[in-house]
Amino acid sequence: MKLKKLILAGLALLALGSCQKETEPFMMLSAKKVSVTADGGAVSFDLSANVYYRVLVDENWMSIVDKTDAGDVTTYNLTIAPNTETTPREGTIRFIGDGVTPLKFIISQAGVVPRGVNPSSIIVNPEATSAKFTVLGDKPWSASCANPDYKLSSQSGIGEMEVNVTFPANEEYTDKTTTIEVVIVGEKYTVSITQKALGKPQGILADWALGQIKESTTNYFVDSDLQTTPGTGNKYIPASTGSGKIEYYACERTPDYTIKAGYNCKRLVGSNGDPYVEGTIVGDYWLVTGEYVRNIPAGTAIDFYFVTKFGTYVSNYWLVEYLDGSAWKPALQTSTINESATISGATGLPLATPYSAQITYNVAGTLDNTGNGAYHAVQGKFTISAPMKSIKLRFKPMGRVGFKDGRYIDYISQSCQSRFSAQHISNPDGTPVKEYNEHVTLKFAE
Amino acid sequence: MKKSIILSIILIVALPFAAFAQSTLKGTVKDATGPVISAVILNQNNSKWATTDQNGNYTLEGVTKGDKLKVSCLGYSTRTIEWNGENPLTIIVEEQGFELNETVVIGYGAVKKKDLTGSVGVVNSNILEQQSKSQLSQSLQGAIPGLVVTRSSTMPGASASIQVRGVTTISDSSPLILVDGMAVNSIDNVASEDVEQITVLKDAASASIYGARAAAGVILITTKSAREGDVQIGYNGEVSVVKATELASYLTDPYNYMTMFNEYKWNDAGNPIGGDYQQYSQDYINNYKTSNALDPISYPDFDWKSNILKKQALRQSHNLTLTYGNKIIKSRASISYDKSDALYQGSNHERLMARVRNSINFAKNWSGSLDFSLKHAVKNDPQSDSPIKAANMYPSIYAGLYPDGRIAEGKTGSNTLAALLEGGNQINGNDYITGKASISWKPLEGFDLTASLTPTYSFTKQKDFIKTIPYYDAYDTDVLLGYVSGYTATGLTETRSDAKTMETQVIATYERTVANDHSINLMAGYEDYMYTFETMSASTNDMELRNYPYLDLANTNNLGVRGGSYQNAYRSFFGRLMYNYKGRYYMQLNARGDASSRFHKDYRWGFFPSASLGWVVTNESFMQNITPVNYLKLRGSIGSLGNERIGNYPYQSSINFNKAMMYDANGQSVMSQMTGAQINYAVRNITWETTYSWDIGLDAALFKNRLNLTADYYFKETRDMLLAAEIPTFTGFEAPDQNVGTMHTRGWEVSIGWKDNIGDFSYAISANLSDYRSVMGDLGGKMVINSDGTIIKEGEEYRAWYGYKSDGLWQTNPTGSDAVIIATTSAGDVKYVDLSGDAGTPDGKITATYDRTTLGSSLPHYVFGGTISLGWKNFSLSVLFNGVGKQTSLVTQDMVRPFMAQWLSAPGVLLNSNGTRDYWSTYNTEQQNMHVHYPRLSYTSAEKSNYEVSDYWLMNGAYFRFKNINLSYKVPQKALDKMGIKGLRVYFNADDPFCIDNYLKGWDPEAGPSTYIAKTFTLGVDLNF
Repeated sequence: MKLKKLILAGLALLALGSCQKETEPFMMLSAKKVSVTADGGAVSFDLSANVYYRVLVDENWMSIVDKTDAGDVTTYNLTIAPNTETTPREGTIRFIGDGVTPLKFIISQAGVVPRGVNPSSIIVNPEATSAKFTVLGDKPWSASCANPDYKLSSQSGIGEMEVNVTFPANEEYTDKTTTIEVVIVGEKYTVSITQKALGKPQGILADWALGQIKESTTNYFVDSDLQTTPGTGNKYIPASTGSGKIEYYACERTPDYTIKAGYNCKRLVGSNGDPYVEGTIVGDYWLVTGEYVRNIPAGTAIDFYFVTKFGTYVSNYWLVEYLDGSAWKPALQTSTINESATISGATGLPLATPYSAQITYNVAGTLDNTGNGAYHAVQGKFTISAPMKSIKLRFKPMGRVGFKDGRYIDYISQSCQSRFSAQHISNPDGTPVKEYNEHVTLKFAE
Repeated sequence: MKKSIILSIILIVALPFAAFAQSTLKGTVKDATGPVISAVILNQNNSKWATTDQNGNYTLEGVTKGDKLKVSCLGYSTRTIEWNGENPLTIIVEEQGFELNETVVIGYGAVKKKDLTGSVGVVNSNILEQQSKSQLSQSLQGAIPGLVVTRSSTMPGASASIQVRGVTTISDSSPLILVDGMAVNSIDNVASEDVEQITVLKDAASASIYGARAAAGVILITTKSAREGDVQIGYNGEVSVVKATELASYLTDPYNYMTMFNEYKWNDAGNPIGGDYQQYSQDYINNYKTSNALDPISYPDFDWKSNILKKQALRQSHNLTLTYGNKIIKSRASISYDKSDALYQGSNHERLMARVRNSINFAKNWSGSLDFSLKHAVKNDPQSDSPIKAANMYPSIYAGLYPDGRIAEGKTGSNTLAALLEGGNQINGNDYITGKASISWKPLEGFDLTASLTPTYSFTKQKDFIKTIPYYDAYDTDVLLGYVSGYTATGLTETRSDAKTMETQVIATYERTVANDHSINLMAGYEDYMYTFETMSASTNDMELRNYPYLDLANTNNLGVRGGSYQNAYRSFFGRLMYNYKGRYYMQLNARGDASSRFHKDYRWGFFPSASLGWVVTNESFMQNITPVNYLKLRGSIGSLGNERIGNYPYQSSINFNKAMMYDANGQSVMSQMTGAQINYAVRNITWETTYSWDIGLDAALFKNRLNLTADYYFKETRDMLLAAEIPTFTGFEAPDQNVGTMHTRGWEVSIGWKDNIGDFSYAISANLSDYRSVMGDLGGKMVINSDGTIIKEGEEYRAWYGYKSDGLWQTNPTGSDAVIIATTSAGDVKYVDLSGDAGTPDGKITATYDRTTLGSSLPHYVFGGTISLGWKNFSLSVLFNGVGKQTSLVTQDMVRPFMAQWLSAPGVLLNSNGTRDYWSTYNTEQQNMHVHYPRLSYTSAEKSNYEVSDYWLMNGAYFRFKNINLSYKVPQKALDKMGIKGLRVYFNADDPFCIDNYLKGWDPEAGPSTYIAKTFTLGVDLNF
């Protein structure tokens, strides 16, 4: 009987056992991904599995420090090392089990947030009027600049922000550096902005191709009739290259000049494009101005060149000078001469008081082989000692002895001519050269 | 339709079951030595029957004086006696020795074996039944001399190719196969269990009666039919375990793979010093095993073989037979089912076959028959590359599956295992239905007029469904990494084909013996045959759903349809005269005229006569006292046979339709237009290939019929062989077939057998051996170099090996003056012999044009087979063997070339069993390199030089195979009688259990690189009620 029961019980167990569903292999993670700060720290998760599995830690900055088993569940405790780099990083712990889908536990660790400014040094072109920098970090900050010309788009904030700085362009010929101070939770950071210096001026400042700008000279320079008002009369010759003008300044006529045939002063243009003036007397001058886009730095050397020819009844001694700061200075080496006259140009009679004067000059006229004034070049170089917005060159008669006959210039006539000439300089033997290609030029010396 | 057919069959089988009762006869059946067990005594008058018990005793009821009793027993000559009232009655039966009285089916008739004058081979059902083969073709190996059965696989559904007396023509040398007179396209359309006898008509005299299709011989299969007195229900069931005979070994393990791969790369890099580790670092290799243990995902060690191949597959078969016969009706119905699984998933072959044979004597002088057979077979295969190759050759460092069973990437997307599991399938279904209705009239004694109608229908259904196979990240099942190579789109192709034939036949025979000495048999007949084939298929690709293999969800933007049809027909008249005088002198004359639709009507008819003579020497008076020789017949035959299997419309030119770019009607713009163009140059007067042959032979029985011997020598010449003639390519036509070639085949066959018994112990042994040599004659200047490394060339054996002659391996780097195929040839590469050059002498170069030569026969020679049968009481043991005595086989590159596709594993034969290299290596000593068998590891040399067809790769493919071992036990009848069981036999079969060969290690000499030959172990039962 016992045996029968035993057999029945055994069969029942067998039946029960055979009814039980075979356990499916499994492997599961409580979480598949976790994020940690740059500081790292401890992480834990659970893995449930009923199969043999392998654990692979792919990165050395994380490590399993402990695990505890509870049935099919294993709790893994990890230590994550601080991330000293700014870039975030990701690491995996892989679980490869027999007969189940392998699993990855992914740890994403943030990178260190950088604190400071970026960039800390900015170099901009002289024309630039703005620059940007970024305040880095995740903390409050303030920014300031001692130079009031430098304006900041934000003077304070929290966390990373881009700051725009505006400033005037650098018109100097030296680098200009300004520092912006940024304070992030008590730590000072600086951003230096360097505006690069202007480049040395070069090339032509102003040039007048006289033979080619006759029309322009006619329009802007020629007087319609005799002028009696002192000054330039708003007449000028614009530069054909660069920026500038040639003016003729007439001084006030004094009674000691006889106005011959009512002749006072008249600006004219010759058939070859020469601007000239009838009625040039001492006190008048030609003013050549070259305008530059910005200040011309001190120390800049200027080459000048023009061709002139004197009328028969103007001074033979002229002075070419330039404006340096507020002072006119000779543009060429000067000389002095004592001149005198005893015959009046106006009357042809002896002067009541003979004329005599010592004059300083740096240009003297010459005659050509026809007995007229020869075409000769006036050229040289000068250096300004103060920054100038424009270059001014003045060319003026200095004596009152007639160029051709040596009489005292005490009247104003048509023969009192002076000019800038387009005609080629005369040959050394005095013969004229019938070419009309001369320029008036102001040029930055190399 | 199907239902009515089945109902008819049941009625035909069931109607005649009725019985009559009479008085009781008792007695014993004996042979010369004692009682005969399990003999059947049939009363032919009332169909009652009885069987003998262990003591040979029987009890038969319902016997009336004058009844005819037929006594039959396996292994004994059937005897019919008229009961004279003697009771008890002892009946003496004679043991069959040489089965001279055995009836052999020949063309359009049957004769006793002793009356044969032609060369005919016979296999009876016992040889077939003892083998557990699904396919009948596989069972015939070694059974008949001259019948060459070649197989490359025994995978489910695989057929073997059959040739009778070797090669007859280069077009199609497969024999004509007729089952109960119905031509079938495959011998495997018949279940082995249904076969009564297979007759092979080998010579012209035997086969020419089938003229048109008999050039390559004829195989006549006679299925079992009911005999008068049969009342039986039989069941045969088998369960088999199938294993591969051999599976090749490859060096797939990580260490060998990686180290050899490094060497392979290093060799091609020129062996730079310190560059040994070209692909895998030393640390990587050395630590791989440890790495794998820790991380099998990143460092796989995947066993492709065990994942792809099963250790064994199963096969089962069942056959149920109902047999009944009386004077009026004889009916036999059988149904067979078998299913075989392959050694890998998704491949199997399932077959259901039914066969019914009915005959009825429905009036005096009138009889009829109605036969029907059905075969339904389905072959399933995975949509993958060869699983066998993948199992063998995939390196284990690539994973086919993740640990959870999901598809892994394999080797950068190559993953045959994935294809096997998820790549879709190919289904090939075939339904084959045959029927035969005949009616016979016998108005005169010896005269018979029979008309028959034989329709056959064949339906095939193919479904090719290929699916996308995505593979995902190992850890993240949602992250798609890509698709397995070749499986990036889901596509479906469905093909339906049907073929139907209709054969009409009228045959008249007249048989008479004149003056007791002159036996005459006349036969004349008419036959016509019509074959129609039609097919259609539809395909689609980029289907949206990957698990819906039906075209109603076809991608309408990607559709393809195809179709085709053809017909052919024959009309034939034939006749035969058989005459013998006193059983001594035999003569047979055959003639057949055939017309085939495959030829132009002016060249359609072919006439194929044949004649044979036989002289039974032992029937001469001078032989009567020579007792050891019981029977001796000398035979000779001559005749012609025809072949026209060269396509359906060879004499007609045909037009191919295609879209072509044409100018429009204005000649302005180019557009795509459907156009037709003649593509072949037809030869109008193309006609029959004719095979002329002669045969001499002898049949002998000696020593009380215990030793029998048959020998034949034959010659056949095929003339007017149809070959594609060379024509200038500028014609734009493909080469047309012309009657230009000749071919000669000369061969011999011997079979010998001994059969005897000593008391309860009986034994028999038989063996056969045959050989032939087929040599090409004039081929009209044509020479064919085949892609398998053989050549068809005048004066050479058919398909002789053709390639380079080798001279071992280079042991040092060749110099500039040495003849090589490629300039980069190095020490360790195969060294070829410079045979000739354009001037007719060696030119210092190895070129395909001048340095290839014939390298010997590729065909099997000295094909043999045999049986050994032992019997003791109710036990019997039988062994079948077969083999090939001489064959030169070319090993394929898959077998010997390392790193096929530049990543698969190296064959295991490259290492010796002790692990040393059997290939030339820089790491070997000079002495070792002198003795290695395989060239160095190299891609460059392998691709262009080392594995060219050459005698270096020709191996001895001869083998001796135990084809079948059958051990059976017949349960004593006494024990069964109480249960009403007529017979019970249980048996164990081992098919293809052993093979002795000298072939490449790991390779079965019959198997191909993508297949296997299986050894099958079967438990079976035969049960008869």
